[in-house]
Amino acid sequence: MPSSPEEKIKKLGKKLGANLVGIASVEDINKYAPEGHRPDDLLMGAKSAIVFAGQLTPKGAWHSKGYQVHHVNRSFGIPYRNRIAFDVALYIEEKYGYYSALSSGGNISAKLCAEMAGMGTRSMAAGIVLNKDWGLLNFGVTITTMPLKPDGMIEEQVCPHPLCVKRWEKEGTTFCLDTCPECLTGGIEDGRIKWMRFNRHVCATRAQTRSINSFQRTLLEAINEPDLEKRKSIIMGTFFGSVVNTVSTANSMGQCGECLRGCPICVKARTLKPKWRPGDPDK
Amino acid sequence: MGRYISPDIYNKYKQQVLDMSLAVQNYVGIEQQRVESCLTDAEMAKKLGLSVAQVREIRAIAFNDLHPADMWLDSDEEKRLKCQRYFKER
Repeated sequence: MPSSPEEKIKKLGKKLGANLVGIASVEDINKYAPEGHRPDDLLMGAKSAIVFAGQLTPKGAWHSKGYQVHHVNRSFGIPYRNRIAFDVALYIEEKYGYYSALSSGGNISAKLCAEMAGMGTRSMAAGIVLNKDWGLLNFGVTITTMPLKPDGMIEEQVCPHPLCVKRWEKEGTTFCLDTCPECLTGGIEDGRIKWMRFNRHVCATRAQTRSINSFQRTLLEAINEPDLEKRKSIIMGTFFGSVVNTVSTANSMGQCGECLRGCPICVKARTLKPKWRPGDPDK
Repeated sequence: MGRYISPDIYNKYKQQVLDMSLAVQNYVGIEQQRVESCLTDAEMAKKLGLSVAQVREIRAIAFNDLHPADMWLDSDEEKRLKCQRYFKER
């Protein structure tokens, strides 16, 4: 039976669907977050951030030669994780009497909250937070004025994986850098990330191919097209149709995961061990 | 049309705003560097002598304006090829 508020909150988060729940102190987050993007900018007097992490997809989604299958299988999407954060916020208000709100919309960095809650560390791949057991995760965040015991950052860096360090020493690259040099550059020294650069503007065209941004860009293209038949083709065609579909279903995040497809941390996290074999007499 | 950004201001500042925004992110180790880029709208506004609302508009438009529409369209093929390469090399 969980006894402390921290244990009860974590248990509730998991019951609602999170795989991991961590707690960060606002004081720790504010050491890195700029003014205007701090939890206490969102909620006056905020003391804690509770981070809910979810496994991205069923493991089989990455065992597909279809590049888009993992996106279709993303199970911990924004509406789902916000629902967990929302329910936990209500629980804290009703049970403990502390103001709470979910953090949504990009003003607060969920990645920073996750790092401070000890759920993983930044990776060479776009500074994405990787967890050593779960690999790539999605995060939802509840901000509360309730002072909770923080989990704290983990000391050991998850990335680079020893296989990547070996490859770096041999070839001067890693799985993620080699896969997406347009988005990622970086270097490793003494087995640790020395530096990295993330071209988010390039990544956006892949990770959010169908999104509000591509909707706006394509619409402008159509408006500027003087040839009526060409304009019709842009607007009525399959690409713009699929953009509208994605935007209308709020499913625009995470459309590319190619930099992490060969990442040894993620490969390990999404590898199943068979629990039953045909003809096994003991099962 | 006062709430919209004027083309003169947009064209004058769009590259600077993009350079200072999250469009390109630099890290030393795993710590994001926030001296020349990764600045907030308020920080950019202070440096450029603009209002926060002006910077926000310039940033939003410039980010969408940066790449041609075809780059979004063609990215499906980029992803397909990267995925194909992964399974071929396994």
